[in-house]
Amino acid sequence: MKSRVILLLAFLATLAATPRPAAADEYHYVNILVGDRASGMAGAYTAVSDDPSGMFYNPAGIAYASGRNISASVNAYHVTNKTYEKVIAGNGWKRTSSSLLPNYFGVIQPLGKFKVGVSYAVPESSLENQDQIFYDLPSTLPGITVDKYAINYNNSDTNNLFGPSVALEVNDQLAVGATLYVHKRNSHLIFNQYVLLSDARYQWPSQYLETDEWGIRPIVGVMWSPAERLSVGLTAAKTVVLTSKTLSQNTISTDVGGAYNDFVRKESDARREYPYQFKAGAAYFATPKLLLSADVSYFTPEDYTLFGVNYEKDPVINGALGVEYYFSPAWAVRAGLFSDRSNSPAITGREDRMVEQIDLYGGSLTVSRFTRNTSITAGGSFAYGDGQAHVYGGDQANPENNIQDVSASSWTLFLSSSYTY
Amino acid sequence: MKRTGLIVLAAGCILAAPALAQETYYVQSATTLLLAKPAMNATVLGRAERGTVFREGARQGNWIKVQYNGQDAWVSALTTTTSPPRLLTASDAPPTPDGEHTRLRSRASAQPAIVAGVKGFVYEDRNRASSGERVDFNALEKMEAVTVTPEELQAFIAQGGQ
Amino acid sequence: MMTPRSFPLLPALLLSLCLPAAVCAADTSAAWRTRVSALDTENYNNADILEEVRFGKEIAARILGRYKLVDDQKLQRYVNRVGAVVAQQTCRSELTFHFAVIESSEINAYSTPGGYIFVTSAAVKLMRDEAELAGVLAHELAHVCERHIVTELNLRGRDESGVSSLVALIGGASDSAKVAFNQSVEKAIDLVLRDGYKREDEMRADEDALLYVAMSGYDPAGLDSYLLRVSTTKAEVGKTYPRYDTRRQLLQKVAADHGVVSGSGRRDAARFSGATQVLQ
Repeated sequence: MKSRVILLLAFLATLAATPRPAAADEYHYVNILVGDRASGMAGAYTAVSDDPSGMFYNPAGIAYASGRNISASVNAYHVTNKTYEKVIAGNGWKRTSSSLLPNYFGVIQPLGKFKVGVSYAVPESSLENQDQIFYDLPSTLPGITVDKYAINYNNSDTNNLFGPSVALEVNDQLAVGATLYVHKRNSHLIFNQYVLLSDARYQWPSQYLETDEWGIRPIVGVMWSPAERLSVGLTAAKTVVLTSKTLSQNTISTDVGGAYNDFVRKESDARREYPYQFKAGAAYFATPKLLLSADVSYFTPEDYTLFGVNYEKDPVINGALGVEYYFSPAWAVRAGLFSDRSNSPAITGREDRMVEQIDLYGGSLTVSRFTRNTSITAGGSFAYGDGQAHVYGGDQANPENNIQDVSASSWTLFLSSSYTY
Repeated sequence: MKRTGLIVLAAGCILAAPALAQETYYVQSATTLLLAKPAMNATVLGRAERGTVFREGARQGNWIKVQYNGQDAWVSALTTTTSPPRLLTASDAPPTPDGEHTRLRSRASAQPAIVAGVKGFVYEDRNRASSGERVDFNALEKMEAVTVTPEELQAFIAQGGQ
Repeated sequence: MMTPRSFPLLPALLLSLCLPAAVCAADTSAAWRTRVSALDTENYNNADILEEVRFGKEIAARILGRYKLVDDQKLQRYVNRVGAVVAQQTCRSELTFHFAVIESSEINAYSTPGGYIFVTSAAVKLMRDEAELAGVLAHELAHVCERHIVTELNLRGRDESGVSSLVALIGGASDSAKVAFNQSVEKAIDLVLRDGYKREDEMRADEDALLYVAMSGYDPAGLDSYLLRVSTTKAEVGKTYPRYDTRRQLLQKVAADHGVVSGSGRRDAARFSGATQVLQ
């Protein structure tokens, strides 16, 4: 199909076989902060984890959960804005994503010497939309311009985790724990483009890509208290895809170079490789009012192939700092800073598919109100970053011309509650 | 080196424990002794009844140091708390702004019903408790029926001392 | 010279977290983790007390399911009077304490949250006078006043404020409370009848008991003489009780520290024998 169609616009991967588009999550590991207490502390939770949120971060921590049965639930409204500047002839691309979802729920219960629990988490959810029309653009055909170029892009990607956790307090200073999540991921992409040339010829490529993944995500953790009021946590996790089904469908209709239309459908069982995630954290429980915590996480590199396209990801190191302060037994505030760096290798301009590299940095702030055995938390997080992308341009001689500047920002609002018996 | 010093200073500030403040103490027991020294065999300066307030009490171990008639006096910490005496009986309960008083009244009188009503069991069924544990609320009722009125208590104390 | 950009923030922060770390052994695991919102064991409200009493009734009913009440009104009334005398000195003025003698060949005493206190007939048979009975009841009263079980199980009353309703709406809490309650009851039964209190709780109860006894006008030597007699009678200690000689030593130290003088105060041996006749 590729040989018969002339690319009118130097967009990468517009008509390539079945590219993996610039999905919202593909380049970042921190998407939505999870857990009512952890989200306020920017996710710096590996050494804290002593409540239901802990099942997601460090299951060993729930061994130290106080209270009999506890449940916590979070509802998040998550918005992302991504702006690619000067993509085509000075025009920028803008994609927005918004989703409203309950993104964490967990329950812990003592069972003999152990603490067991169950949790449900949605660490990634994006519904990305782009709806733009550009006029009067240059084309690759001499003497002919593009009258109109319309993009309709809709990409949804959600990752659901659900599963049990167990923790054991080995002795006063040491606890171990594990979570075994069932991993379910669904993504749908519809990328519809329409190009109308000044001589009334047109090109209409449309792309559909759907992936359904089932797997497991085991997390093992250790919590150690080397001294009073000090806690150190270590975790290791990896998502292992057990089954995956990807369907791609490309249609093209054009009258450039003669009337032509085609429909290609492909399926693949290829399974995505996820990286190993290692986290280390330290927390200092200074007073019953003040808690300080810091986390470092390391993600291993990825390298996998899908539909003949090779995807390579660099290793990533992220950090987070969190603080929790109680003004009184009834009111507390939590704040934090975090990094959400890109796993994308540096943009060269020679890539054969759309790529972007944006390092995001952000912060979180929440306020909580406590009563005898309940708490309610409201707040949000914000992240911003600048970076580069290659979504347009095939100048082989001067690849640096193919690099666009990108900026992205996202914010999330949380409303959560917890209950102790 | 300077930066490390700053970090240590910051950490130290975080750790600075708040100085122990003087608190208000309320007498909870029926009566309590005010002693000249923190010892049970010290001179008795006086007696304080339930509800007495000591505004500037400083706790030292099992004793609270208070001001009584212009001098230092010691009260046992076991007979005082930092919050006013709580009242639970229906007749004693003072009105409270959020209507807790009403609930208190109904609960106090309905307690046996609540006890029986948990899990929706009828009184007799409660004897056949879950997990094979025998439960006897009839005996509990008999136990609760034995009461000591304030007059009986005073008479009992008066008759003692042999 | 470190430039701002190369200043290693993360290692410095971790270092500052480690600097204040005490060299001494870590406290019991969860103690310093507790945040201020959960820390209040001193300040409990009426909802907590009602929950405690409701909870205590459940445990008391189970104890009475295992052991029969001694069927002698005179004895039961007497024990309640002695208990009331000591209870007057405690800071749980909102509770109505109930005392009972139960039939058992084990020398023991039990207390439940909310103020239900049991002494076995074998224990009463071993006592010589009212001061000894007051000492045993004072020890059990101390457990209730210090709220040992309630704190151990983190038992709290339900809050019915608007905030809690909103929380229930968001979080979806439900019948789990009832299930949790019953589990707490079972755990408490284990604590009371089998495993026993923590060692430091027992020592605390002994300390408080001596002071209650002294403040109610009984001879504080009663508790000591009773423990001595029990240690010679009882073969094994069981539970987590410290050894009897340790307890007696502690009592002597507490007495010395607080100016408690033995030998002064009521013993009322005659009244005691008269009331406990049915057991002899």
